Amino acid sequence: MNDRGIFEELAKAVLLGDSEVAKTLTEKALAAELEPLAIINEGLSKGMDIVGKKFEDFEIFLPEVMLAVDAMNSAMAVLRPKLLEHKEAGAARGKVVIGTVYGDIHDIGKNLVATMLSVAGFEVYDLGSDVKVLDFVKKAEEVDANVIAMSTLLMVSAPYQRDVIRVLEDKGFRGKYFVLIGGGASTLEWAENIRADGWGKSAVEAVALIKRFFSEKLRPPLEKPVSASRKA
Amino acid sequence: MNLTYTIMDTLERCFDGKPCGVGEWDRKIIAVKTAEKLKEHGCKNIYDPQNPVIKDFGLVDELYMAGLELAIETGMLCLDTERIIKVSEDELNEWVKSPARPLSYGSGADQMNLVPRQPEDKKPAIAHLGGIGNPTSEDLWIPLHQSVAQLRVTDVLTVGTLYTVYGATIRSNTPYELMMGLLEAKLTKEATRRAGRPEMPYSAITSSVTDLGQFGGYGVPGGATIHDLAVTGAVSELKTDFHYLNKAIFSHQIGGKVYCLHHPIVGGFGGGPEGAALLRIAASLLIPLVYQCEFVTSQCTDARYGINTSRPCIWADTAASLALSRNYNKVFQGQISPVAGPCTKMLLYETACHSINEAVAGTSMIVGVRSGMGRYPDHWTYLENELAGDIIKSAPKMTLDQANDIIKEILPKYESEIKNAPKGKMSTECFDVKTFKPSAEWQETYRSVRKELMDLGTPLML
Repeated sequence: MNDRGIFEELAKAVLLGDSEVAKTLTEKALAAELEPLAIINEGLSKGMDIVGKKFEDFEIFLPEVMLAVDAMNSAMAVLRPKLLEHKEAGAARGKVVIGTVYGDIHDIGKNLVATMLSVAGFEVYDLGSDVKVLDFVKKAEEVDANVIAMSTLLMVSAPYQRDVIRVLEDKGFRGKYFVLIGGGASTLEWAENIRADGWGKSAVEAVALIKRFFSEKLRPPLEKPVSASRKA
Repeated sequence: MNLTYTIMDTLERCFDGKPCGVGEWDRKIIAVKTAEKLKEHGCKNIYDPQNPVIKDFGLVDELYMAGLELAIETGMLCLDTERIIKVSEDELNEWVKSPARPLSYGSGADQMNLVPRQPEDKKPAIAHLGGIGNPTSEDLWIPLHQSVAQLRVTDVLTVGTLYTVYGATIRSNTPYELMMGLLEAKLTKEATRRAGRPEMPYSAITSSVTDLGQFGGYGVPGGATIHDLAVTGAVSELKTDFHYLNKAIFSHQIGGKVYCLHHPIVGGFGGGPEGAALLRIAASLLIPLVYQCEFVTSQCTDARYGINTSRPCIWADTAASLALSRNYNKVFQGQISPVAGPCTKMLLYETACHSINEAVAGTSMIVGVRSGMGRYPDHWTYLENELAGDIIKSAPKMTLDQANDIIKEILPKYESEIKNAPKGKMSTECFDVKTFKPSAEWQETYRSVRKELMDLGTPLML
């Protein structure tokens, strides 16, 4: 099998959510001396892009997306030691701390974003739902994150998104993290009001925005939050 | 209800049930069991996008049976203890086969009786209209809710969400919510009084998701009374926690009649529209027993947009409502959650679609309109509610075939815009909050959409 063939098979394994095949093919690709980043970018991520598109079109649903993430993770487990050897771990990605803010236990939308971020190759630390303000900051510090992403469906929990940003500002950490907000209770105006760096209206948008933070080499805090319709 | 199963069984099972983590619940129980039940009952891939109103009663009845089995085989997950609250087949069947209890809310001239309905029922559904969780400011609370309470199609008032209390920002699960519960009730009572309908029931306490709002505003002097509807909730899919159980038990203990919100996700762990319909049926059967509450409100929610007016959601909600109204001699409530905001044609098209399908499918009570999916503060008006109420009251003149034909015509008018739906205008830009006169633009938009609907054969009465 040539390089292109391996990449295509890797993408297919991810798409089908076949963890075993994804793992075996990744081992084969490394044995054939393919570059770990090429394996991710040309193979696994291509599969994940198709998964994202198929979900957006409702050709597949969350169980299939989760299987694809499992397959991606099984391949990444094989690649991680090589990436570390080459100091490429997370080189093209980033670390995201994500959760639903305090007082809100709605987690479907947040889970979707966390899953899609994993799909896109980010290292995701999902704190779950009903997360206290300081827990976001502590986790971000602990794992040396790049992004803090907060969701809420409730208007009365949205103030906690602002509280996280205030804590970051008060502690002098604001320049260390991009802050992205989302969820049914948030708007671009709210993001601007609380000095967030971005607002994602949907899971797909949230992931696209986080990718933009990196691809456009932006530095937090942004003067105005970005959204699907607004550039930095 | 004199059943063998009591709330003590629920609490005991929260602590003694089989341990199960959330991930395992979502992926290994909900996802697997839902797919299994759809397959066993021949309901896999029955979603027909060309016909948003399913008319095959054989399939609908299979969905019901599949939902009943799903409820028995899964139970609910308690998030606080990560244990399964399982109910036995005998326990569930005893509840399902028990006669429907008479349910009435409000009093005097505004008392309403909630009864089960059938598909194409000649009795209209109860219209439960208003702000439904839309963030609403203290200043506009009274006029906005008064404007809906004084509509003659409104039977029950549903309210928005306060986001300040006496000017201070409310934070969830803090003492602010205790204060907000009472303020919500007081402002709402003033709104119904000004509308000349002081005994009209309303659903309380909507502004608070935690139990604190209920403690602060339900059954306390000056607050909501046992003639109002007490609201609690559950988490998709089939999950609960102690906040929600506290709300249900507290409200019951003071003599209130409780209903529970549970919104299955289309595209979520249950899979596509068929799976969400199945979960809506299972929830409607299971939750009244587990919570010892009166009924369930449900909408199959689109995982991509958080609404239920997309084509797959309309199909799923219609299928679930038909399954329940044909097989379940109990009341249940459907919900209208559009994505577009006021002063847009799109909001009215969405409202029409999701009022028509629920009303004709035999839903007992329909709650809405959650304009703009409740994202923007003070972005809702009485006109979209009037349209929903008009359709709900006129629906007895409609058949399922007519409903399908009309919805098929309306859906293409908006579905391509769902992803980038218009935000609409603020309530104060749409109507005068002193005279309640709509703006010329909103009035004309409303008039023209009503004409379109009537031209399509929608039997409006106002």
